[in-house]
Amino acid sequence: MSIICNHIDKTFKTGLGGKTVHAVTDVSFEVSPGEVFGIVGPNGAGKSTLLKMFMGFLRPSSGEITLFGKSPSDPLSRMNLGYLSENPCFYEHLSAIELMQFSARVSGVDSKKTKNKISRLLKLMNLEHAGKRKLRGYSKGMVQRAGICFALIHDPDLIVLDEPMSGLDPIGRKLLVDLVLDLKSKGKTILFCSHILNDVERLCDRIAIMCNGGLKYILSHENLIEQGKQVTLSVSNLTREGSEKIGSTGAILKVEENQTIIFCSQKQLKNIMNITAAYGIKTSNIDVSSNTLEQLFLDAISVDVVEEVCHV
Amino acid sequence: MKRIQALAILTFKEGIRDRALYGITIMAVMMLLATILLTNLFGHELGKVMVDLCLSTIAFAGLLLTFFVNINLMAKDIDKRTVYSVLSKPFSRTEYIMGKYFGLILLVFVSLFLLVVFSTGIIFIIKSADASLYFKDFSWICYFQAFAFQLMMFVLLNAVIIFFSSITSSSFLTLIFSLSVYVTGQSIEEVVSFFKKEALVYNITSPVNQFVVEYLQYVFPNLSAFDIKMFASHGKLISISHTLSLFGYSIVYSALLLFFASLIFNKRELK
Amino acid sequence: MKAGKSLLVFIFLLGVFVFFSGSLEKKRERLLMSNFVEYTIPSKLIVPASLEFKGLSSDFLLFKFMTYIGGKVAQKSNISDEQWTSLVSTLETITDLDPYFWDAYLFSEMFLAWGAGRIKEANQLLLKGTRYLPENYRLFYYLGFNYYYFLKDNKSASRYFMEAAKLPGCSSYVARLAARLSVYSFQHRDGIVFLQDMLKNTKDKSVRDQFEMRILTLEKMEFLEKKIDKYERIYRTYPNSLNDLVVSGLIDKIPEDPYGGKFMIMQNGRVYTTSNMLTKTE
Repeated sequence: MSIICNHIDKTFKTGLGGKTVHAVTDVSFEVSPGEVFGIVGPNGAGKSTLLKMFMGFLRPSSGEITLFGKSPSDPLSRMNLGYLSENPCFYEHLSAIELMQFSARVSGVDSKKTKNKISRLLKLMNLEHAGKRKLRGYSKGMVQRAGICFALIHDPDLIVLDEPMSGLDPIGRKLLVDLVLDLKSKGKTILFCSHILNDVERLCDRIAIMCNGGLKYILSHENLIEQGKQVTLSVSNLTREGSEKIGSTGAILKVEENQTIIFCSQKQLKNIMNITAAYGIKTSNIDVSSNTLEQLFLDAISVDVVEEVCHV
Repeated sequence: MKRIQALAILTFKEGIRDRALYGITIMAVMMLLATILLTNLFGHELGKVMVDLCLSTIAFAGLLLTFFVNINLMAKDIDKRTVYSVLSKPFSRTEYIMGKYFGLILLVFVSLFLLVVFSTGIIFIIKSADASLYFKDFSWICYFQAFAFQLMMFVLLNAVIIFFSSITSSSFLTLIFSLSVYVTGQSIEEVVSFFKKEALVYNITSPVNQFVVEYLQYVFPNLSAFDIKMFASHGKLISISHTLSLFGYSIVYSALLLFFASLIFNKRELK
Repeated sequence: MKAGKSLLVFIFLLGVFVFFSGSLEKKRERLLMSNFVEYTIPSKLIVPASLEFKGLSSDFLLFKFMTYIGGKVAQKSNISDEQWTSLVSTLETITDLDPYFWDAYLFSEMFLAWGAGRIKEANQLLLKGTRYLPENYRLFYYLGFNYYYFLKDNKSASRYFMEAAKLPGCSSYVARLAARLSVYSFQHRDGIVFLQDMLKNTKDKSVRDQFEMRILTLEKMEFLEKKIDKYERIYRTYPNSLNDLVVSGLIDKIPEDPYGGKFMIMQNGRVYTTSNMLTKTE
């Protein structure tokens, strides 16, 4: 197991003798090697706090965390780890190359290979021309990309990214998505949190939905695909034969009093339409939604929680 | 070890490219050049005055560096979250403290070394131009010894900076505390001897005075012990044993401060 | 148009600035020229406040001291009693900051003793110096000299001269002087020797001029006293006035006192001058 966290709690005291804030409440999950794990949630859900506890910046008020079997307070737990923080900041008087050299050196990369690795990564992240420039002169997107280079120079097995897409333009985002997929193909483990559900959906094997410090759901890709029956048909006079035929396409049927609801993907829709036509099944309603995750997300949050979040 | 070294060099690089450093260096160079103007004004003890001026400039530059550039380097790290780029690597909190400390020291040493070389050149020029009659008490060994003592003071002072930086991330508070320790450290010897004299003369000692004289004086670092400018300007050499024990004092006190700093920093939460 | 307007504003401001700078400068000059006694920060404050820059502070204060006196000399103006007192305290501060500062002790002798007649304070400072510069014969020599020449206390003088004679670099003249003191009295030659020694160690032109003037005066007085002794040997009595020396042909004319006074003869055959150059301010 790359990451294990067990019943993590984190509370903060605001100011001197102020209120206690429960940033994270009873979160437990595991990330397997080679997995891409995403955490989504509204602002203030505790995602960043959780990640910071993994990194050892904060200590959980209770509960256990292990990275590669080691506690985050053991610096060696970060030997094979690359981290990119939210809104990353680096020493502005240094160049990207110097930063990467530092990162490589400290993580035990062979000094002879460092130069090649640096130029390769810079090329990959489109920063070749700016490698020697001081970070002071970088745009936000460039800093983000430099941060990714910093995190990957030592070829870590575990990569933790806190809101990696923030600050990137569409080109940058594409770069990142390609990168994640590339890393995944190499068998790396990736943990990241994000607001942008599209990317999370596309990239992740499993997704955790957090709200108000607590973990609401963990969905696997299959769940998603399942729930990714993006088309909802309401039909009536469904015969047994018809339902069997429709069932064989892989769609899910839900029988209700007056009607049957068919959940299917857009791919299967064509076949189903043929079947309904062939069997004279009446379609009273077709609903095409493209945001299942969003639906689940909002579901998980539910109205009263959203209110609470708004007031906080 | 390698990590501490890497962080030290990183800190050094970041500091040396800070504009403030340029300003301080330029100011110091100006001051040293000004010493040339003063050669006509002083009678006998030109050697003394030159040593006073050069060493004082170096000390002052070091103080500016320590109180403004170095404190900033520490505070900015936490403020701007650049500390994450270090702590996300396999650094322990203690290694971080040590790495930053050695980086600060390196910065002060290199800058002051440049200044002392420059001042040596100036003294050399003036000494050979003007009759050595006015430099009769001057001694190069004493001059460099005073410089070495000054460096050891900065070893201690920067440990003080690190200590307060680990407690608070406000650069203002760190500045106030460190400055207070500096002033106290420079004055403590005099204050204690004043109290002792008073006790002798008036034969009464209030319990407060006694407490200060006996115990509190050892809490603060005795920084005035590192100031041998006056001895150097009159060509008086300090013995090797004295030198060694002073250097030892500096190292031990700094080590203590760093120890506490890393203890405190280990407990610290970085939001 | 805009550029032109800015230029006009700039020229106007510049003119105003020059005017005010000029008037300020004049007013400052006037203020500093007046015999204003500068407030001196007490030594007890300056010393701890200088932290590790005591040497530098002592240099700065000495510089101030020199320029102050130099300024007064250049303007040929007097230094009042109160001003001398503040100068004394300045020297005290300088030697508190750096007790090894030779120049400060030298100036104590040069200006406090010879310039202001503040022998007691000069001696205090010199004594302080002997604690820190015990190998420097000059401090004892100056002390001895002050007692001998100014305070007419031969016993103390002899004691100090003996101390000086023991130290390296001291010429044997001092030892002989110490011995002579018990027997012979006051002689101008000693003053001349002393001042010539001082002269060797002074770079400052205005100070040198004063010493030379004084040496000249003493030489004249010594010359006159030699002639008086000769007169005594011939006529078995001291002359009533210096004119007698002229009449008897021993001197061509009564020499002039460079300080503007008149040389007079005393009952015991010693010469003094009405200008009393000792207490005249430098």
